[in-house]
Amino acid sequence: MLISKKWLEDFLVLPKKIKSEDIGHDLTMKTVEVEKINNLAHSLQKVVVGVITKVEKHSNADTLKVCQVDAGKNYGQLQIVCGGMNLKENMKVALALVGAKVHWHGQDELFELAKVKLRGEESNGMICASDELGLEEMFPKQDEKEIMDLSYLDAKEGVLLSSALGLDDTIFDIDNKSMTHRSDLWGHYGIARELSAFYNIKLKPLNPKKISVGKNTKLTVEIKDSELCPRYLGLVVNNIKIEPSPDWMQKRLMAVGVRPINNVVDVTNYVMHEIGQPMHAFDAREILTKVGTDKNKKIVVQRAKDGETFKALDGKEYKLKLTDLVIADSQRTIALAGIMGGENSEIKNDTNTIIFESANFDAKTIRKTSTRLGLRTDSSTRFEKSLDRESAELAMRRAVELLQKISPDVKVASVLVDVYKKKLKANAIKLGEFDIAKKIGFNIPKIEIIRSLKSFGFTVAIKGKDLAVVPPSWRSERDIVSKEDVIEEVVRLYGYDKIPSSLPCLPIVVSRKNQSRTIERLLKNCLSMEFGYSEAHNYSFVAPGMIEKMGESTEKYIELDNPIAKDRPYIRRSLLTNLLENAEYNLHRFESIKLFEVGKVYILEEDGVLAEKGSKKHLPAQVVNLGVVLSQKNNVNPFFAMSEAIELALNKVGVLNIDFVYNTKSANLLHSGRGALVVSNGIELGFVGELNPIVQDKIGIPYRIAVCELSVANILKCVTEKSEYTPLSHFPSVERDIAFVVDKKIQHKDILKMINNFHELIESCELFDIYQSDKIGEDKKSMAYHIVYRSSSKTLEAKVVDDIHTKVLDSLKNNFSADIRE
Amino acid sequence: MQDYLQIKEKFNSQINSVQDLNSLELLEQEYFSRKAGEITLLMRGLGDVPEEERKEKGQKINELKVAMVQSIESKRLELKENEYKKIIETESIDITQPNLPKHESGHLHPITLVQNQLEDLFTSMGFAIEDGPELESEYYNFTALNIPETHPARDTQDTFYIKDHAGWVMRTHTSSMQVRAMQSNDLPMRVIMPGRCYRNESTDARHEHTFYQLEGFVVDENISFANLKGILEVVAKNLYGPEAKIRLRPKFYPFVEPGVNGEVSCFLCESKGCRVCKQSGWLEIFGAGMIHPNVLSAGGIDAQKYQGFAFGLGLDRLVMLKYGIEDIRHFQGGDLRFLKQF
Repeated sequence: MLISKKWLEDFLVLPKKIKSEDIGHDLTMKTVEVEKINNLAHSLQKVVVGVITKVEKHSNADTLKVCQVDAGKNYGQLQIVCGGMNLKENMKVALALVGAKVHWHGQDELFELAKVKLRGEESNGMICASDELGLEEMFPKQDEKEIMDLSYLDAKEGVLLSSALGLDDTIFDIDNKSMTHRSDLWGHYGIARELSAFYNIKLKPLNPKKISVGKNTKLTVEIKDSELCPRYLGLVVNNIKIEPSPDWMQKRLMAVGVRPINNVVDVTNYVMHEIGQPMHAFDAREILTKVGTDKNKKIVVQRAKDGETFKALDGKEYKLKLTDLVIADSQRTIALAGIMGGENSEIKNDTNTIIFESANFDAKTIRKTSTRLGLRTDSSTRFEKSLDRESAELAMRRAVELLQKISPDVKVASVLVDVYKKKLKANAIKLGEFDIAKKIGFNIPKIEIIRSLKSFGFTVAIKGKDLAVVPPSWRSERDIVSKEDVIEEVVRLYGYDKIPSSLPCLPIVVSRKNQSRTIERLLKNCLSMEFGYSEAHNYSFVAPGMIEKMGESTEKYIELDNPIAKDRPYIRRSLLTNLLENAEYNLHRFESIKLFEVGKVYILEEDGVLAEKGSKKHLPAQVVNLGVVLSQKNNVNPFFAMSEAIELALNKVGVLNIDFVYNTKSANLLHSGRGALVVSNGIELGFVGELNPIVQDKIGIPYRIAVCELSVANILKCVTEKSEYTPLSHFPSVERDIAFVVDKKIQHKDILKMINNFHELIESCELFDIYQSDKIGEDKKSMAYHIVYRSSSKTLEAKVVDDIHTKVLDSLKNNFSADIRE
Repeated sequence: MQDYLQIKEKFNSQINSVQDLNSLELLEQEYFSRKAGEITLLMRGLGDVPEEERKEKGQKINELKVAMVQSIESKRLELKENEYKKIIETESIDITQPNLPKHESGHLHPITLVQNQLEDLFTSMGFAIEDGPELESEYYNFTALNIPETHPARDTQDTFYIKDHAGWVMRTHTSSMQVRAMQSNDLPMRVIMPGRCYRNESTDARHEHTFYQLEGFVVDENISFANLKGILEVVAKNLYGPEAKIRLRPKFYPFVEPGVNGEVSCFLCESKGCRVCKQSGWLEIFGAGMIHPNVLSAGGIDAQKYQGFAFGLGLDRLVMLKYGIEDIRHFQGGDLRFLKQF
């Protein structure tokens, strides 16, 4: 919202020492955020009103004209070369003189004009288009080469454009989002009230004169649902001549970004920007009555009929619902309450009688309708903040006062109809000095508390030790309802920066351990620091195409009702869906990718936490998983690199006994001969394996890729703290290597287990070589193990070791049909 | 004696011409080999020397032997030194050259790095870390937080809803964890709740529909606004160094009262005003306030007796500021060119 400093000065006398920057800063620090302070006169220095006296063709350029422009006494006649398509003689234009700074062709950066020759013709400045001066919102362009036509202005040539347009003002641009709870700030008077409190200066009362009513016309107003319309004021005004409003009013409106239209509409807009109360003016000629006499007018506030269509002032048709609130005459809808008027009762050039509406509508209803229809107006934006119902009457008086001031012939033709069924009575809120001190941790003197509340318009009574505080009507609707709300008023005015900070005094407590977080962090550190994996974070949303490529159906997936990326409506059940996309993407640039992610997956068919304490409804399960992918050019069997990293990382977090078991569960996703379940002590932690080559091909990954997904909760179940240690032996070991050929299907795990358990003198056994070749047979493999024999009590004799070793070889022959190689 | 002198002379001339360790080895063998070394033989021949000469001769031979051994050893040392000198010269390398093939180290996500830093800070002050659902009920995301149905945050343009499950949303803030955490912790409470949040917003360099927050709150009988300031100052100093300052200004959030917007002095320009802080000298990094009594009540806490503060930090923004990252969408783009930089 734009706030004009001049307008504020209607209501208070700001001391010279308070600069615009101070006002911006103080509003930001105490009330609402001022995003920008715009000194229009400053940015439009050296731009004046000029009158074109002659337009001639440029002899060297078809698209350019050579203009003679009268820039008044001080600047004289200037020759300007210009490409505008709407140049005419006697036209008033915005003339940027040499030295002025303009947005060249509407670009962001400013460009300082100099005297130049354009294709041989001298040019002493520039005739500007609106976007070249940053005024495109005030003067929207119909055509790219259109320059601003200011012929309608009274201003003389040579006058500064800023003063001609009433822009010799400072404009505060206030962040609308920062005042959603403060309906009272949506007009200049509300902002002026804040400033009067900040600087302890008097706020001039806004008390327009009483309306002297007429009796020519009878107006009746009927409110069918007073919950949705607590108050409605209507007034018939006639003897109106529609004409432009005076210069001063137009300038005010333009300064806050409102386009002047005509005297009646400008008055309603002016009142809205002053008081914050939106108004509407109907063409009274178009208001139909049952009786059919022109003298009697009837307004009905009611719910729309389900399905009715309504043509609004913007020329568009809207389909209404029973939940929408409309204004009707005895036969038709004439306005969408609080949002926009209807085309059927629009003010026209020959309108001579109007009905002014100043009403209070239910905020929720207005919000719902305007959101549903996508129709947000200055009016709906205010109504949805819950307006002060008292201000409806104030606004009506102000509107009549203003209209009579600018068009003295107008007559009030009816009595002021004021249907006010739902008055709001604000309750006193009790609070003591101590309440504030306790909440804030700092003592603000009582006298200061009372002063600040009064300056915001609160009524304060002293009741013993306590204060009884009643908020003013403009803060009572939804804004100030509790003690805390009042405390905030006191503290923000006092200044948050003046509250000294202190740290809380709490007993020393060992905080509850978050085991899962500890494990997550260990896994992340281990994978990244030890094994060279990089951590990715991916969206929770996945594309159906990827789900299908991975051999799944979308049936089990939770789906967004309103996805932002229409192609990713599903919520992930696996971290691999996005990680595989990452892999594909990165393999265009890298020959090796090692990625992991720790994040949540969403399982619809399993129960998660309760949706609400005490309810029986559960949210879907949302479990934290670890997903890992690895792919490298020239690595045709990345399974082992992955399984090694996983096993060692799990060891690091305290999961010691890990088994890889053939995985038949994930046959679609994984290569069925290279996939494993990761199991520890009978608990399934997840899976690891190479991606099914069909899936790999569909996704478009060029090399074999190993994937892994584990459940952090299941890992947590298997974590034990390592508490074992083997003392260092004082005796030497005896070491023996064995090599043998076995059937390819024999698993290393079984051989290792057999050897390790064979004899107590076998300290360790390790696979150190494995190979397959045609020489030894297609379904065979050669394996070589290194065995360490050691006694903890004596030096072993070779013979003892040889005896055991022979038996080991025999056992290999017997159990695995191993063919021992000498 | 003749032998003795001859040997001495021969040896001396030989050792002077020795150029390498091999020749020295041969020379040593020539005189000291167990079988046919000239000195060995000389010693052995002592048995044939008459008794009265033997002692003197023996002594002489021994002196000779000691001298020879000494000169062999000193020659050896000299030759070795020369040899090492040569080795060291020929083996010298370009120490600026990298190891080949290069070791690929891994990288943690920048959000993780900053989140870890803050988690460590808060746990050091006795805070518990809570994790909770990202797909949340409307109750915890809105209702319990004093956000009435008409609040703009409930409009469809801001919130992701779930198809066929009325009442489920993707949480729009980590504040959704406030009431859950109140229900599961004991008083006095100090808890942080970092995590992912979702808003149905179109994305660009500064807006993302999925983002990270770190929420926290403290509740006890006398937890005050001054304490909120104190904790936020600790956070600011932890992130930006001991000179960092904070500034609070009013901001409306339905679940806190008073509600504030927290800014930290711009660390890039030391509050002088720069492009990043939009010339203001301040960077907006958190929202905070005193927990609304309705929220405490929803959490089963006696709002007459207890009070507290809550705050929420936008992690994405912290990380972007820290590294000067220009586009928020990099965080979840999975691009290794980005991820490998942290």
